[in-house]
Amino acid sequence: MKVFTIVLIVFLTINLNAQKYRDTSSKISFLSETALEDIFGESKKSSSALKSDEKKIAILMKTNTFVFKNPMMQEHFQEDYIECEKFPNASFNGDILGEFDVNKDGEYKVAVKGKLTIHGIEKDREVKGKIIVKKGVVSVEAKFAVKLADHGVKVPSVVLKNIAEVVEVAINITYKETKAK
Amino acid sequence: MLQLVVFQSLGLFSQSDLLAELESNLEPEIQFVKSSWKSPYLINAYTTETERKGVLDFRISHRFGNLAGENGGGHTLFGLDQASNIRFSFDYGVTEDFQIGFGRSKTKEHLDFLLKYKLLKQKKEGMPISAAVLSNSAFTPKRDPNEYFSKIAHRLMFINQLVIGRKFSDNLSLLTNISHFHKNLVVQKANQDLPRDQNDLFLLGLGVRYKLNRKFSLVGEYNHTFGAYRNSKEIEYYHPLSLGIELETGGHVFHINLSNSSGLIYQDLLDSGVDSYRDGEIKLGFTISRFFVI
Repeated sequence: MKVFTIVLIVFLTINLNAQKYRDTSSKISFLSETALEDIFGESKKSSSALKSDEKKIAILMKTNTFVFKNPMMQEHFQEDYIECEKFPNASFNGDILGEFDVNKDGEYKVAVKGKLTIHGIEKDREVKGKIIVKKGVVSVEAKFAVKLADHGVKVPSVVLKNIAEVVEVAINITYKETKAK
Repeated sequence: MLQLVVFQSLGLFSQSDLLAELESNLEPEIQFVKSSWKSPYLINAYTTETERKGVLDFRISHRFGNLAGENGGGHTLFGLDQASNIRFSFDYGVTEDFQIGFGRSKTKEHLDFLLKYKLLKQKKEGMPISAAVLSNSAFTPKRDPNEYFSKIAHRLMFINQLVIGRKFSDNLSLLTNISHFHKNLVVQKANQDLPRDQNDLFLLGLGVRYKLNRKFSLVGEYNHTFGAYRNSKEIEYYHPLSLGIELETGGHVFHINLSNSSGLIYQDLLDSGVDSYRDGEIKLGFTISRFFVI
């Protein structure tokens, strides 16, 4: 029984140390740059969770929450390219590589190795980014390129010159500590 | 004690997949059926869509002359030499559900003003239809040397309409409309034995869009006007039927169509129906629409 209690205590302490963060605000955008036009879409309604002790991070994007300046572009993005009806979610789920300390202010250069799912197609990616701890507030920043063809997003020939083959995705999420459930 | 352990390990287990946890936290949302129609206009008919907020839609519509029959054939290069009607219009989305419009047609030099409001929006679960109400007033500023219009009010014609539509599948959308058509001035035939035209007319319309692929759709529409005058054998009148191809690229919607009527607004569509499909009095037409975001 004693051993059991000790095991239990150890168990509980681990769990107490488990620091888990949920997003308070998020900004995920993508930019397609061509000589003809720039297309910029941004979503502020994504959700994300970060576990500092297990060094895991997950981001879930709702594809229909991306907002564009031009409503036509938004419609095309939703209907023709990302196909929100068929693929309502995009996600990035992986492990954080590199050292960081959520209890100490600083900028930590890290990478995330995991699975990026867009348009229903999953790709193994390693993405560089930063974990920023400022006055105890944890946030994450990353920028990376996504090749449309990798995720089976087809661009019709009439607009081939308007849409870049590789788009830049920028992620900016601020977290708040939550109690482990 | 044992329960605690189980509880804790469950806790750990659920945390191991963060993504699954995020997914389970998603709140269900109301899902509207989108893009039933590519634009607020089918060919001449109105769809259940309104212009999106802040979008100005500039349209140029053109109807050539008759392919065959009266004034058709080789001498007019199957109507291409003629312009039976031309309309320039601007439509603007004031809110997501409310739009205004202004247009000018060649026919009767009609200036028309449109107000349109989206009443119902089709949802994936629940609401099975979309609906819009609209009112279009047309004014003819034509010269009047014979004092045909004794009052300014005689120059006005109105159409009030309820459009109900449904997207049945990814490719097929159908609509039906019920309209009230009012003319302030009615010109009757001299022969008293013929049916009389009326100030107020009611009509029923049907419209269809079938999406062939991401860029091409087939569109069609028909309007039936009730009342003795337009359904009598003694009076030459043919209800307007139009068929077309809709091509969509970036910021444009392009239409090529065939119609027996040269009208581009309902007022002209319904009041100038003397051309018959059977006699080949079909007009080739096109519409170019360009969107601007302001």
